[in-house]
Parts: sequence; C-alpha cells; structure tokens
Amino acid sequence: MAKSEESQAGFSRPFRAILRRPLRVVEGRRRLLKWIGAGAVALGAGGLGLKRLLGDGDAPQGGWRPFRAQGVVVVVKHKAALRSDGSADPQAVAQMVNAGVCRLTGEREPRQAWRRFVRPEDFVALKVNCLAAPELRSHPEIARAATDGLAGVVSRRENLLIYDRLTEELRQGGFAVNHDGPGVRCYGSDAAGYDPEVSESGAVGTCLSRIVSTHATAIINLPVLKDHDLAGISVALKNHFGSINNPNKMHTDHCTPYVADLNLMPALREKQRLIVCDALLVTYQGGPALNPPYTAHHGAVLVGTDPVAVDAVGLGIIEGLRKQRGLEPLASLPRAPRYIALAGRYGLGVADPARIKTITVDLS
Amino acid sequence: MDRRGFLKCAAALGAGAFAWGCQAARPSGVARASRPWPPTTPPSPSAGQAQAAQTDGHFVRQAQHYTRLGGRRVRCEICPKKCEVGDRERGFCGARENHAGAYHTLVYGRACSVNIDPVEKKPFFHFLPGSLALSFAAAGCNLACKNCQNWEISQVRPEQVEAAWMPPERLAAEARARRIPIVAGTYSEPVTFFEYMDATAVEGRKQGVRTVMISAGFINPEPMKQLCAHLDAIKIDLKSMRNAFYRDNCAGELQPVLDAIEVAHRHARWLEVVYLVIPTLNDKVAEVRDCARWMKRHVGPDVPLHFTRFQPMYRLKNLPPTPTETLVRCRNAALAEGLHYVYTGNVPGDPGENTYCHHCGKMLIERRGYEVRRNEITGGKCRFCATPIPGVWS
Repeated sequence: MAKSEESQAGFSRPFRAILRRPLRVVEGRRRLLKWIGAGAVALGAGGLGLKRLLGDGDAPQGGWRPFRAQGVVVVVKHKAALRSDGSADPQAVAQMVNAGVCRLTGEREPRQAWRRFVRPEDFVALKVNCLAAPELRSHPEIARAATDGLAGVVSRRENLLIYDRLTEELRQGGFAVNHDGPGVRCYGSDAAGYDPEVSESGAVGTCLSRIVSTHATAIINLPVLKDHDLAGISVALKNHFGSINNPNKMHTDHCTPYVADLNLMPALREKQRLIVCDALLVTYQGGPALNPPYTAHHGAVLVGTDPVAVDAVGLGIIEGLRKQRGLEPLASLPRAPRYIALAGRYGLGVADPARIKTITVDLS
Repeated sequence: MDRRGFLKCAAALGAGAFAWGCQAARPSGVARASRPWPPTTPPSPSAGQAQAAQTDGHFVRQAQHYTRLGGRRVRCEICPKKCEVGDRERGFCGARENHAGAYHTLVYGRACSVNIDPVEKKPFFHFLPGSLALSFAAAGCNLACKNCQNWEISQVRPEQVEAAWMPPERLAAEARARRIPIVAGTYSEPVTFFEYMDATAVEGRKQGVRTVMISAGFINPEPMKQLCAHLDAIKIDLKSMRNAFYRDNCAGELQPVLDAIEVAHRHARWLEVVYLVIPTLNDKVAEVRDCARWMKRHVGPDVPLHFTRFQPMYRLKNLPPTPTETLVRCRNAALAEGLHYVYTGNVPGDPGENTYCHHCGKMLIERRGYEVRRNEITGGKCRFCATPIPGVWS
C-alpha cells in the first residue's frame, strides 16, 4: 500500500505538535522519564531482563515509536529445536522466537512484546531467505512463529506478507504461496514487481522490490545464518540483496561497500523493525548453499533490532564453528565481511563485538 | 533501444508470427517462476500471454567457457570479470547461474527485444548500407554503465523482463522469410548471451543470413575468437581511453576492450568502433587523439570510428547531451590523426554522417540519419578514383 513520506516516518500528528513545543518542556519531560526508567531498571532488571527505558523514556506521550535496542542481541537456544531428521520442531521454535522478543523488549507476554514492533495499521513484510531452498533456508516454523505473534497486533492476517526474491524459491522452501487468498500472504518480488525508477545509495543503484518500497510499512528480517563464498557471511544485512532487482551487480569486492550502502536506503533502514535470524542449521564453510560436511545443528535463533549487531554476533558464531573444525578464520581471508564494520561506521548499528550486549537464553 | 520498437515489429511483420514474441521491454512484475532445476513449473497465472507457452527451463542451457572449481564452485571464462560463482549464485551479468558445480546460461533463445532496424542504427556504415537488420537481445550485461540507454533490459535479471522463445533457427528463418539480410545481436550485451549469439551466427550462416554483433567488447580472447569465426561483422563500443572511466562508470576495465578490438580486427570479417562522447567525462581532445592514435597503430586507419552523442539516462542524468560541436571537434581530431573513416552519429544533416573516399575526398555515401540517399561505391571501389573502399558492400 502506498504511504506518504510523512506517514512512513511513523509519527502521528499529535507527536509532531509536541515537537514544535519549546525545547525546555520536552527536556523536563525527558528528565522525569529517565528517573522513572532508572528506578525501574534497578527494580526490574534482574527479573524482567534488560529494559530500554532510556530509549522508551524519550518517547513523547501520545506517540508510538518502534522498539529499538542498538547493540543488543538475544541468542535463544533450544536443543529440541531441530529434530534428528533435520526438521524444525514448531513448538520449540515458537517458544524460542517468543522468548527472544520478550527478552529483548523486557515484556513478560509475547503479545505485549510484538506490539513493540508493529502497529495494528501496519502492513508487515517478512523477508525470508530461500536462495538455497529446500536444504538451507529460513525455516517456515520461524516465519510462522513471527506471523502468529504479529497477527495478534495487525488488523488482519492478510496484512502480513512473507516474501523473497522468487515465488518459486518460496515454494521450494516449504512456504505456502498465497497471492490473494485468506490468511498470511506469501509471494516473491517477481509477482509484486520492482520500482520502475532506480534508487541510489552510495555505490548502489537498484530497483527496489515494490514490496519494500510501496507495499510494506514495516519489515521483519528473517535471514539465515550462513557462510557465503564471496560476502564472507550472509545474515541480516545481506538478506536484503533479495529485496532488490540486481544483486548480481553487488558481489564485487566481496560485497563491500554494497551491502552497507544498500541498508542505508531509507525504505530499508526506516521500515525494518526486527531481525529474527535462523541459526538452527548453520553452514559455516562453502555457502551460500548447504554444504553438509560443514553444517552444524546449532539450534539457535538470534533476535535483535540492530542488523549490524546481529551480523556481528552471527559472524562470531560462524568463526567459533570454523575454529572447532580447524578452518581459517574468516577475518583472515579476502572474503572477510568488511561491510559489517562499514555499516557500523554508517550508523546502522553496532559492529564492535566488545560493545554488543549478547543475552543468551537457553530453553533446553 | 526504443521502448516502442519491440511492439512495432508485430505490426510490421505480421501479428500472427510475432504476437507471442514482441513485447515492450520493461521491468515486469509478473515474470515466471524459475525453480526447480531445470525449471518446469508453469508461469504464474498473471504472466503475460507471451509467456503462456514457456517456462524458464526452456531457456536454460549448459554454459560454455567456464571452469569447475572445488566445492561446487565455478569460474566463468567468458569475460575478464572471471566471476567465481558459488552454488545457486549468478555471475555479475545475472544471466548465468551455477547449480551444483555446473554453469548454465539462462537466456538461450530468450529474446526480450526483437526489432527491425536499419543497419546504420547499429551503427554500421560500411556493412551492407541501406539494409535492414532483424535485431534481438536477451537480458543482462557484464558491465554496469551508469549511462546505459538500455538499462531496463541490461541491468536486470532475465526473469524480470518479459521475453519470448526465439531460438537461433527461428531468428534466421524469420529474417530469411522477410528478406532481411542481417540478424543483429544488440541492445543489451551479446557477450552475456554468448551461447545464443554464437548459435545464431552459426545458424545464420547455414541459412544464408549475415549475423552481426554490437558489443561493449568486454570479453576474453578465446570466446571472442569463437564469435569472430561465425559472425559477419562486429561493432565494439570503446567507451574511453582511460581505465578510471571504465572502473568508475562501467564497473569494467579498458585493456580487455582494447584487446578485444584487436582480436576482432584480426579474426572478424568486419569491424567498426563507436566512441560515445560524454561531456566532461571522456570528451577531452587529448583522449580522443589517444583513441585515434591507438586505432591507427593497432587496427589501422581503415576501421571506421563513430563518435556518438550521449543522452542523460539511468544513473547519469546530471550531464547534458553532447553538443554537436563536441562531436564535430572529436571527428576532426581523429581525422587529423590519420584515420580514414570517422563519423558523427545522431547528428542528422552533419557532413560527418557521410562516407568520403579517403583518397580523392569525394562523397561516396550520402546519409541523412539512418537513410542512405546516395551510394557511389561500385564493386567495393570509389566510383571516381577506383580506390578500394574498406567494407562489406554486398
């Protein structure tokens, strides 16, 4: 659905009126809320997990802002997430995803947690990764857990769309293609089309999928954690190569600066609300397709709002798996993912592992 | 390429023959499915009529000129980019894909644009002047020129553009049936539909149709020699004499293009070169002189050189169209360096459109735009002084 530039910013009219008030009034309100927040942290941090009260405290009264937690990644593990046959256990996966969003937001109930990312009027596009389907792709169980959570917020399930580049790849990945029937929609950019005009950002010149540019008001990024023979790894930042029409032009120089430049595009940067990274099955060498000798049942899901931090944590996981197998670290190879640090310098998130807060939740 | 041109051919040649083939080349929101491999799934219900009978699998062929590497990876050897491509990934051109260590072209017979043009539009000025060329293209390109005038088919992936099944034998047969002497691979970049281009040239020779290629020349020597053996003429775009221009504006390199021009000169039956003049980027007289000197030294003074006008397009819209004076200046500089046949393109009425005998100076071919008004070349020679005029005249 077409949205004006103003409404895509997510600020209601009352909020804009507040912005025009004298600064000292806003500052006073902020100071008060910060005190409240500090107290709540002292009381609730242990039991409720990290609460981004300082950030929430900045939200003026009467306006909604999507939850943001820069530099925070929740890693949720569950031994039973993958069965012995490699399939995902829907219940375990749903537990993981909901535990992740709750821990990230500090909410007790998943329903409340999901409300922190989308609003009832949002049209939410969920970007999965089915390039290497059927063997290695975003598990439909993760997407299902996300859509079930989101369905409790948005006005109707038909306002949820699972997408990737090609409809057939989605089908190969085990997703039920649904162009216009009841329930969650699912189709590729090949069905939705691409912008007729080129969008530019740094070195990137591309036609965005209309799903991203026009239809969606919110994006949930559901990447797969995997090795990539040119980009080093493919996680949240690179997943949006499937949101444009010419990713083949952007693999030169190991995808740097293209991945970072692409994620600077307002349609992606401003609409993306959450990343739920599928790290159930991780190929850590020889990607982006499944490479069985170098694939681990990792049984984890990474949850965050910071795509750079998610990528950095994902890179750490892959480096750990590589080290166990005696493989060279990616950091020492020409294909080291330099775009992660670049994206950090661009202000898209936190790239330095030392500055990332990683919260581990083990549901096993 | 004119966006309307693709549709015009249907009326010109008979809607029955081309209705399934000719559609305006534009990014499509309703392309067909392209998996599994080889793809067999019927297109989506909203796909265009032209695609109703086809699936993407129809267009897939094993690629030529690639090397298998370890771990199901391949290295493409068609062009200097030498893309090393992992399983399920594509090369830079977007028209070739690796599946389990086997590289495939996705665009064999996959014509996204078919048109009938005067051969002068390619431009060929010394090859069958006044003839028509059945011109075709498949989507994709191994460069990314910011000023590409055909970006809607060159800078996209094949499944994003409506296309028709036009195998080589069909192209040659259609040209022959309509007494069109030439089939031209053009518009996008024939290097990226190498197998399709080469097979079309082979088929054309069998059926008595000449085949020509219009290319940026960013291709490795061996595949270029293969094409030269089958093609009747090649036109190469020499975009600049500066590698920085190729790197920054085209995502390419200069030297391989110069090498390709030399290979084409040695092995092809006929060669012409185009230099698109872009204000402030490659229009300096020194650079033009470098171009002329290089050509004279490496391919000789008889290879025609065309200076053509830039139009703001795609990602280069902040520059003006090339002034006529600049084109004239470029032509004069190249003539001063000793080249015999130098033209200004896209300037109807300018003397630079005409062909003059390099010996006696008489006008031999008078042109106005793409129209040949007078031809004084007889038996391949100047009618006035009997000097052989380089070219393919019949």
